[in-house]
Amino acid sequence: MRPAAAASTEPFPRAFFHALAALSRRRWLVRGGERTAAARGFAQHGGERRPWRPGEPLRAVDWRAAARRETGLWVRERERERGGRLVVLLDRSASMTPGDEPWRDLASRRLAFAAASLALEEGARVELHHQDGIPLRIAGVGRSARLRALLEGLPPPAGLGAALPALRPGGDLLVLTDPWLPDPTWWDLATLAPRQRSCRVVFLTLRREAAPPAEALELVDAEAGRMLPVDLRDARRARRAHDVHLRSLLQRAARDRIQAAVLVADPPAGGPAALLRHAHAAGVL
Amino acid sequence: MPPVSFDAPLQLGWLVLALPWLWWLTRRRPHRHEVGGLRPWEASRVEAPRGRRRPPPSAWCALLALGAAALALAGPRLGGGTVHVVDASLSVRARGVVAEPGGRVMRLGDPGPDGVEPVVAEREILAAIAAARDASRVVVHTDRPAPVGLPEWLVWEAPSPPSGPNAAILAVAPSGRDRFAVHLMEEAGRDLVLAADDGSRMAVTAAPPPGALVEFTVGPTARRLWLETSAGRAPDALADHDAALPRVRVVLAADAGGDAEALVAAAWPGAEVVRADRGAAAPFLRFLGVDGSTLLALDEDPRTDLGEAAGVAVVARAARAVRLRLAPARPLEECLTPAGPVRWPDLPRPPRGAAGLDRALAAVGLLALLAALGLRHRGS
Repeated sequence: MRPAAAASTEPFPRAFFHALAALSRRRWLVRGGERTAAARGFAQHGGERRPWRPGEPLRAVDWRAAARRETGLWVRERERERGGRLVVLLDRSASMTPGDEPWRDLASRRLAFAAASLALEEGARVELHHQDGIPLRIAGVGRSARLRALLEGLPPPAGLGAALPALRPGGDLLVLTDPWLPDPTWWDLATLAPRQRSCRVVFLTLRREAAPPAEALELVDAEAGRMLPVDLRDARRARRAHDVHLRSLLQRAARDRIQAAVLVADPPAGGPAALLRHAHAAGVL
Repeated sequence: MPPVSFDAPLQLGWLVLALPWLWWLTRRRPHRHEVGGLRPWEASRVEAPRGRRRPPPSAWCALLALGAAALALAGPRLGGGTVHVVDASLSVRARGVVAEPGGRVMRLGDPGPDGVEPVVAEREILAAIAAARDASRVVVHTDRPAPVGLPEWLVWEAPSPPSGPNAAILAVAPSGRDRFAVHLMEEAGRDLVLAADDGSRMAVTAAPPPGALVEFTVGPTARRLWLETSAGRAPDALADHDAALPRVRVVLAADAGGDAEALVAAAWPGAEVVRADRGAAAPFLRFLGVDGSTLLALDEDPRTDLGEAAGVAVVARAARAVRLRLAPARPLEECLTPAGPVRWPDLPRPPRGAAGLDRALAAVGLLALLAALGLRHRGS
């Protein structure tokens, strides 16, 4: 990819869709044949019909079929949902854009769109919780445009992180956040995770945090505004402290049986195509 | 320590950029850096920093790179330095374009103690360049046309286009008491005035090269003569239009023969001849300048050994040598406006010690820049 495309601040540049299409093709090749057979379930109306049984809700009656057959009431069989339910939680707190750097916010929106698009292609329903209003609930490949419009129109991250929403159990939870998740939020997540089919957390890192300037600084917390005078002239020590912090997050996630990954959000590693590649390699997508 | 000179000292102005940079690096207030959280750096907490900060090593390397680049652009030279050869002759002064450079200056054309303005042309400039052998670079400020094929270390600064058609006094020879034969040349056929410093003036129409001889009578106090245009100004030409009047006093030995005065008059028409005091040991003949200094002396009467004809010739040759010493004859070729580019002989190379340091400094600057980038990449 060209450097200009890697450093683009457009949420969804053309290079992103090219990379997403390539990733989608690879997944189809790997999972070939998985989606060929439909099975009975409770999610969608299928093609088969059967007679209505007493006790079933009248809502389930296929009135058109009943009218055509003139005898009894008929019910359209429901098929099992094939892709399950993907629940994406987007962190929209101010710590996503420290120093007004857009890369972490961009990466989180791109990953959300990529994960949701791939899930929709596989027949899943998608819930997107973004802390800025009513969550988006969609299903079907054709709805990804709505998802894109919502992600493009999100206001900039601001303020403190909101509490985790109440989630129905059984979904595939994907949390896109920074390495600065407060402890109460993590406790909520650890409580929520066992009731979900799977739980993945992606920590998006920035170079300005991994390698701050090697000098005496006043570090400012983007969310709370707290100030910390530090001496970071020992650059290796500062980097090591950041690495230790990330390692402790990953250990904590493993202890709570949460699948966690660390991805770099700055370009070029955090550029549209490279981000998807790294996310795929890390098992996030 | 050998002196260091700069070919382009104005380029040192780039060093001014280092001042705001240094201020930025050493400013008192710590730089604010916003991050998502503070947890990893709690262990690096310090008291609110006081005093000025210490710039990181990469900043010093980058400053070194800037300094080396600025110095390299300025073209430093070790030893020698720049010598300015300034042509301040009348032809340049008449236009008001005499250069006034700083540093080491060799002025040519300033009037001597006797008030005679020396001629400044290629020969004098070449002599000045040769005298500045210790210089690593020579800048010539003149109105003479630049010769072709100048070496790199020789810079020719002409304030205006080369002079137009020339008028020149090629030679002055005594022809009688206070009378002089003046050899004039004028390329453009202008009407000129021959003037002397005692106020004597004479209108002349000089013949085209090789010129013509005119007789010019001056007062007894005149020491110098020059050419003017009819408007009373120096001809807008080269600086060959003035000359010293060759004047001598001849002292004969007291016991010299009675025809010695006639011998001197033949060799130097109009010369003031005196006899030395009787009894004092004196050479046969002495030519004295107007300031009383001995210009040339003949101990014995040459006619005694050589015979009459050869002896007279010896005295005549001595008189000619004195005359050329007082008023050198200028070759016609030097006074003519060059028809084409002037070619000079191969000039000596500058001294080895005057080697330029710009390449070495550029290399140092590049290494410092790479070191700064490397240190920056490592986070220090």
